[in-house]
Amino acid sequence: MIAATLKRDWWLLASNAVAMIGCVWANAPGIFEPSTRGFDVGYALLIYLRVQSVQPFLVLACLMNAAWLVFRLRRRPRADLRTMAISLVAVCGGWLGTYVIIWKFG
Amino acid sequence: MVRDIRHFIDGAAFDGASGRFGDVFNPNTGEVQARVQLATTGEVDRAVQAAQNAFDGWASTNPQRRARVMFDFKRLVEARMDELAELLSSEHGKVIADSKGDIQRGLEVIEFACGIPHALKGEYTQGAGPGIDVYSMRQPLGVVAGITPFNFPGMIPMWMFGVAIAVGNTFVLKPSERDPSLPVRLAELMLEAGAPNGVLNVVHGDKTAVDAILTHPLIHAVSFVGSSDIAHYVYQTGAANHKRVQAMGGAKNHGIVLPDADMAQVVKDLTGAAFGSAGERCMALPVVVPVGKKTADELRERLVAEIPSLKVGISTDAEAHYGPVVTQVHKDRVLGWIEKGVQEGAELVVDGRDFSLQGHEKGYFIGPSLFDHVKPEMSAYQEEIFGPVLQIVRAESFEEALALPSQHQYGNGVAIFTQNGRAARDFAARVNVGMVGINVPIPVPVAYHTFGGWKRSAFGDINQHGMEGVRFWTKTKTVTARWPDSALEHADSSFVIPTMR
Repeated sequence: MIAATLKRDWWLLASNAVAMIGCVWANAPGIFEPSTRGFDVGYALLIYLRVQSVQPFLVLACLMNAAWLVFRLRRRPRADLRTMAISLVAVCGGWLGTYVIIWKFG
Repeated sequence: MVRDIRHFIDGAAFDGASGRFGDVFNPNTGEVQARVQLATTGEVDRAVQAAQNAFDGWASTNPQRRARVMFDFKRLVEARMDELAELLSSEHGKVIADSKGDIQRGLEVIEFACGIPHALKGEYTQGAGPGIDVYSMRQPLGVVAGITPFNFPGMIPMWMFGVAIAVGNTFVLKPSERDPSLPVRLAELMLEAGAPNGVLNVVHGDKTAVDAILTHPLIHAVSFVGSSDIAHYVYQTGAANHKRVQAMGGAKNHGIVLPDADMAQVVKDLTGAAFGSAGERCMALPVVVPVGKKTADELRERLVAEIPSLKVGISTDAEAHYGPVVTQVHKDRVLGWIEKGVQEGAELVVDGRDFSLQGHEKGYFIGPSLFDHVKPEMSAYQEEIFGPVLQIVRAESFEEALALPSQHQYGNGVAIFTQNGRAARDFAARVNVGMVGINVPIPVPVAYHTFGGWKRSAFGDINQHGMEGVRFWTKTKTVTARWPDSALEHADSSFVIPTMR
């Protein structure tokens, strides 16, 4: 089932994974560059600049998610419901995890 | 919830526990964009202890290695110039191009500090007596401090810590609480450039922090730039607590315009020097003294024509000549001085009080104002306004024009506009002011010379940056060494002071 999901929705999962990594890179720069963790203004600026730079990609990921949802809901054979649910759980879980990482280390 | 601006102590952001904060505004919108923590005496002490712990290691680092840190710091600041200028403008209000100039003038002192091994070399006399050599060396003082104003949050901290750290001191900086982010960022970059933890610390604060610095027994020297009354207080209190102090105060710089001056150039120079950075510069030119009625009338006519072409805009507007002043309190103070000038009988030729920028009605903008027929006895002439206000004081003769800046309570800078070399030379020699420009409206000396005013513009006797800066931040040790030849000289006690025979 997971293999089927990966085969069917790989582009959705991949684009969300890239967006999640981008989000962590932007909002928790200390994970990638520990030397900046002691900074205050520099850390805030780094986050500000990085969030600005990843924003277009986040918008793109949102559009892809919406397109995927519309596309799958409009033509959904019964067998697809499980893979769709797995994809949804993966995406939602991934974003929840991203949020937790940023909250803890950002 | 606005962000907190924290102290920077021992190489990391430090959360203060005073529970007291100062609002940091966005002058373009009038909104509070952050709040800065105000330090307690104990928090200042923590910064001083961090600096003291770092001192021995830093002072014993050879000067060439210290210079390399300065080289790296310069590289980092240059690489981040856009980001730093935006940060500065967002809290001060000056336009981005002016913020870059602010940072660049500070970097020029860092460039000077890159050559510190040469500047630190001492003197040597071989054979001052039989078997006697005398040599002197300059040694760092220990922990030193700088208290800096809001109007140049990049340049003035770099003036101070650039030289002070390069000669081997460790530094505690207390920047203005109105635009504190850039100095913290500079400290972070100094760390990134290779300065050890504790070499440059930043504490934010008000009078509590200033007094803690002025009375702390481990701080050996204090450099201050601000208003004259506070400068006087800093000088007195610091000196009473055995500190070396240089305290720069206010200014009321005059521009003397002789009848032979290139009037088109004068008007361009004057508008830039009087209104640039909304007049919030200690080297602004808020008083112009045309000599002779004809010169005065022509100058006034040209200024009245030129001023409407000035564009007041938000800091990020690339076409704006200047932006807002720093706070609403400061705006009210400037408006109060304009009103005072009117009440005292000066003619308000151009009135900038009602200026409002569409879409930024709550920003602290003031339009350019021009006064004519200002008299020396008016308080609006005698005091520093620190806003976009230009005053014309008419003089009948060169001698009368020379007397105005010479007799004014402030003596920071002065400029003369003329094509007559003899008159300019005579003026430069006789005027009772510390920095003179000849056809230069803002005569801030280059980094390898020194900055300092006279009279109530500066308390203390050593200027900022250049070789005077090296002298201020170091103490001289002189060694007299004798290597007698015991076979040739008699061992004998001497009970009189040694003299050279």
